[in-house]
Amino acid sequence: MIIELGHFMLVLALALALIQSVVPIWGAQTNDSRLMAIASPIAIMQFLFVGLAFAALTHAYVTSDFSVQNVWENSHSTMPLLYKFTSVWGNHEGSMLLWVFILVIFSALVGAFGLNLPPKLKANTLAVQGWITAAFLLFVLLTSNPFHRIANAPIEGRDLNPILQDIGLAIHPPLLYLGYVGFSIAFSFSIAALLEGRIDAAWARWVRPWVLVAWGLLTLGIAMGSYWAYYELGWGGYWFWDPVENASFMPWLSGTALLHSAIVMEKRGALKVWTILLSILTFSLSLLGTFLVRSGVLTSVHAFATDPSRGVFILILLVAFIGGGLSLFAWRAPMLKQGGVFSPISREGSLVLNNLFLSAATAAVLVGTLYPLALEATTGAKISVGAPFFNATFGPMMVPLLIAVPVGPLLAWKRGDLFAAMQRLFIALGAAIFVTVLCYALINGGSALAPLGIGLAVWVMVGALAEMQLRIGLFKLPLGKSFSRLIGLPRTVFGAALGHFGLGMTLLGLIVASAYQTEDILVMKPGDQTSISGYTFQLDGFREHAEFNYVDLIGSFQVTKDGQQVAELHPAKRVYTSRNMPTTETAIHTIGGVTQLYLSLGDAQENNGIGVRIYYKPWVTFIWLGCVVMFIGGCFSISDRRLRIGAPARKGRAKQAAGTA
Amino acid sequence: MFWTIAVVLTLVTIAIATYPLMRKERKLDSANAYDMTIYKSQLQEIEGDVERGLIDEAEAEAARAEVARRLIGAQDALEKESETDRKTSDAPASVSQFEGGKSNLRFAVVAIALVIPLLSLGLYFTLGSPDLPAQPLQARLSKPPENQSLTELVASAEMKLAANPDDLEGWKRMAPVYARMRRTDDAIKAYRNILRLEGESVEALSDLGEVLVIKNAGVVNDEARELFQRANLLDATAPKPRFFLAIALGQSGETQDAIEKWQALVADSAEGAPWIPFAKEQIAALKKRDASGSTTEGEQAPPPLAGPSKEDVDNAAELTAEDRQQMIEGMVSNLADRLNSEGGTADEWVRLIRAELVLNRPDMAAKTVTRALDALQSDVDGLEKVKAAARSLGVSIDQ
Amino acid sequence: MSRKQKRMMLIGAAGAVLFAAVGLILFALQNQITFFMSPSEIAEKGVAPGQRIRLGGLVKEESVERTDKAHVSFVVTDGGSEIKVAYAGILPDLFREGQGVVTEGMMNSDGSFAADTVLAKHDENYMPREVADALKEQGHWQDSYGKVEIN
Repeated sequence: MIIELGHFMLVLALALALIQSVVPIWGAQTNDSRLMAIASPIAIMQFLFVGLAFAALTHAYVTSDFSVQNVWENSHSTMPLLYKFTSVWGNHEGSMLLWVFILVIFSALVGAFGLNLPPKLKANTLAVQGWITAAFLLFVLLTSNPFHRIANAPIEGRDLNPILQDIGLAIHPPLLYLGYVGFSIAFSFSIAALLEGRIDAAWARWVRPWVLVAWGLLTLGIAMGSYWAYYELGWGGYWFWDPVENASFMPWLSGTALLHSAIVMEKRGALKVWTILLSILTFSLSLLGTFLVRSGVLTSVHAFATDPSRGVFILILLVAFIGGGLSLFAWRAPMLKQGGVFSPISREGSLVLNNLFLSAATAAVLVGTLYPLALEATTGAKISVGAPFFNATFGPMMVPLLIAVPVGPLLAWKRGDLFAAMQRLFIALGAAIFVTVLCYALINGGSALAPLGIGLAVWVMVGALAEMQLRIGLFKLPLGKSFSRLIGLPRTVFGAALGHFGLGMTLLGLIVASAYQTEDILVMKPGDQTSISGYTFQLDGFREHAEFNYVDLIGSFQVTKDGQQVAELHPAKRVYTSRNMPTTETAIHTIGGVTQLYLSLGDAQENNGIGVRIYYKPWVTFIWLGCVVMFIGGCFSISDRRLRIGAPARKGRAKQAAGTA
Repeated sequence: MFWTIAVVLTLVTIAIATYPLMRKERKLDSANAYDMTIYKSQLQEIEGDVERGLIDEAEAEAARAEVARRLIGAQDALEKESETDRKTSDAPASVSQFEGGKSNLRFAVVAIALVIPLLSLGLYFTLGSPDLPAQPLQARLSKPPENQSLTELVASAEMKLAANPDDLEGWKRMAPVYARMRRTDDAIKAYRNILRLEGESVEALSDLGEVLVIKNAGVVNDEARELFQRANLLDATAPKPRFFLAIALGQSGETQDAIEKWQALVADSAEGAPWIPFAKEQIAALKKRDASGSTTEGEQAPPPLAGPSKEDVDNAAELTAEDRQQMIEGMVSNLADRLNSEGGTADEWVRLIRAELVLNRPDMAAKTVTRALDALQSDVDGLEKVKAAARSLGVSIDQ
Repeated sequence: MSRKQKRMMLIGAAGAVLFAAVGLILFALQNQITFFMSPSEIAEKGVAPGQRIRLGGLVKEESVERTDKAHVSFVVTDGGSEIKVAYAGILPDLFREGQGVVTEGMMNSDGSFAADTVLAKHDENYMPREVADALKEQGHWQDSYGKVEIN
């Protein structure tokens, strides 16, 4: 009965979403507070119902109820409990339910905590959320219903794809969804503002926390997905420019642009049109990502859905939301008043630069992702657009942006002094040049451009530190005073500096790990030794180890450096018995928290040999640590209480306003 | 129960969704008032930033001027609004507006009260399965055995065995069940466990061998053959090892030896033993091959009829009617598939025709006859055999 | 600078970045993409040695040979033609005889293919889309292809 109640609540949520799509807007048009007021309770109820439906499905998974088709197809009674939970969204139907669940979480958050929002903006925003929810609930119920039942329940399930039986993969889809579904709020705010025709600096203040939440979670989700691919796929790569990865990267790029343009809009009332357009585009890219992954147009690392009827449904949703949003934009945007002026060399100017390059980079990724599909559809020619394309387009666009990152925050609003800013950054510039020269002098081999890249990363990182140092007057004021300034520093300033520092870290990790990694691929027999980058790997032997659902062939390696033992590593080749599917279990040893030794096994070969892949990856963890730092920066910014200015005081408000102004 | 909860949920939903509509109309703050709150806080922030030395005085002044401009703009708009408010509330026109609001509300309440139940119940009726109870695995397996289906019985026995893999009795119970369910791999595992736990016995050895033969589509491979030989050493009279060893000889082309073994087996068997007809068939087939096949010495002799073993059919007697039907159907369709794709001997075709009649499918049988006659065109004896069988079974031959 | 000048500068900068971006993308689309070809297409149209392509098809049964160390060779076929592929490295988990495969590399002048990448993706039904299409064209498609046996 729990399952059926879950199903019923999902249907109820659809009915509520439809009401939410219509009534609050009607209220906003007729200025009726009561019609608008139903938006919040309905949003919260939807959250409850979809949440309970999700819980019901989870319950079916945990109790291995194979009368639910979805459970039967993706679960097995002997799976560890953890994977019974995670397999709920390890499949198309369940993951779409999760998508909708996260959507209604955001609606409910706006409904419950958006007390500082003007009633009409809130009503309209929730109504737009209602449209999205209704559309996707219909999609779930009609094409991808996870509550479909089987009358004669089989006794055993068909098991979860073994590759998904991994904690990294289990966690990153929800994070990614939290990120890119979170951008729906920015979209809804924009549409609401366009409907009402009120778009001003205050609007940007209201949207910013939501953009920050979505952006932070998306950052973390992408980083996690990348780390998962790194250790699970066993070929040492962390970013493949795979269409599925691009699908999450594009909203991140345009979301980052949105984050920055919203600052200009809030502070200066400028870039209104652009900011609105960006929020529509960012969520459109999220929808596009959902379409690419869920419709099966791509066959790719993560794609597990291949039903064309679903593809057409999502395509219709995609066209309706993107087309509708952009049409409304085209109709309303010309009515917006222009905001404040600024000189090209100014804080605004630098943020515009940021937006230009980020948008161009997004466009490059978009073209690289869609071009092969378009070409195949029109001419039938099949091409692959891989790393070379993105290195040639995305890379050059990032360089000027990264050079500008430390400068921007030091420029004044309206009219900045580039020379003064550069003066303040002389430490960063010096450090960057010093490190670059040092790299050229000390390191043989690797790419000739790598030291320049390292210098750029140092420039970004030290630049962020230099900004903090200036803000708190470190080394200029007494230490105590600097400290009290640090405490009093607005969290957004702190968050921005952390974000930029994290970006520098990621860049540093990417450059060092790819330019100076060493690898060896060979066949080893027990007793064999090989050395890379000063580390000696000796294969002691293999053993087999069987668990109830897989068999491991585990290699045992002694890693030594200069005769000292460094680690003992146990990579494995794993075969999941129920589907006879092999996977790679890499062994990774981290040295000093930054550099990793990475070992994976290939096939067993005659004469008791086995293929072995060994990588020495210097500073590779910086790639993901940098993302974590960016995420923490986002958290700092959100925690700034200035982003939560309350609603106008209820009584005597008009008089008070007159008095203080 | 389900419907009670569903109806209550629907009613509660309607109540909560319409509750805000029942309350008194509230005068809302103008959006301008919200804007002003933000602008005022921005002014304060500028002061804070100046204090902390984040921006210099000139920059602060410019920013202050700009925010103040926005603040004044919002305030002007707010005042204008309240002015028009006051005017309209004085005017009689507002009554009709109020009336309009009231009818809107009534319409909204009715719409919500209709849309929620109609849509949710309607959609659920088409999509849901309200009568299907939940079937969590644990509960299904701990039901009293008499309420369990065959698969559930098997699964609960498996759970017990997984918990206690040294349960000899459990393996003994499960092994033949697996064999009957055609889960040959599990059956093999079960028989191996029996051998592990109680040592070698004629029965276990030959049962394991038999399952291996079934797995290999009737071919007695070396492993199975060795098992039967070990069983035969333990008890030279046991019929099952002898039966399969004879098949093995026939399959490996040792025709003479095979005929001798079969004849010995028939001689030693009691009257009416179930394997005798099969043994006789084999003897006949082998003799025929021996007569015609001396010229093809050295080549791999075609395996004679292997068919499902008698034990299989005997086992079928212990199953429920439904299971038996299923098993027979499975066997028949296997045979039909093989014959249709690879062809076969006249005897096999006749067996298929007979089986289809047993399953009460005379149409299928008639079609099979036609196909058999097509397939056997070059085999005059075979054609006659099929025709004769069809006539005796009462299947019409359309030609 | 006047307001108008400032705006013009902004638009100019945006235009320049846009122009550069479009240029970069077009240039990269000319030079940095790889065409996918099946053995039959290569036999028909020919490929200059040294041009990077992706070659996809089925790994021919019993064609995988391991030479010394981690070198391996196998034959890729689409039913129409076949090409011998040499590869140094560890084959991906799902590489199997009779299964679909996509390799990236260049043709040698002797008509064999030197692969530097062998792609296999993690999906139990994995059959690269391009490979499936190529096989369908050659009339060798079976629905069972690409499916790993599920018990």
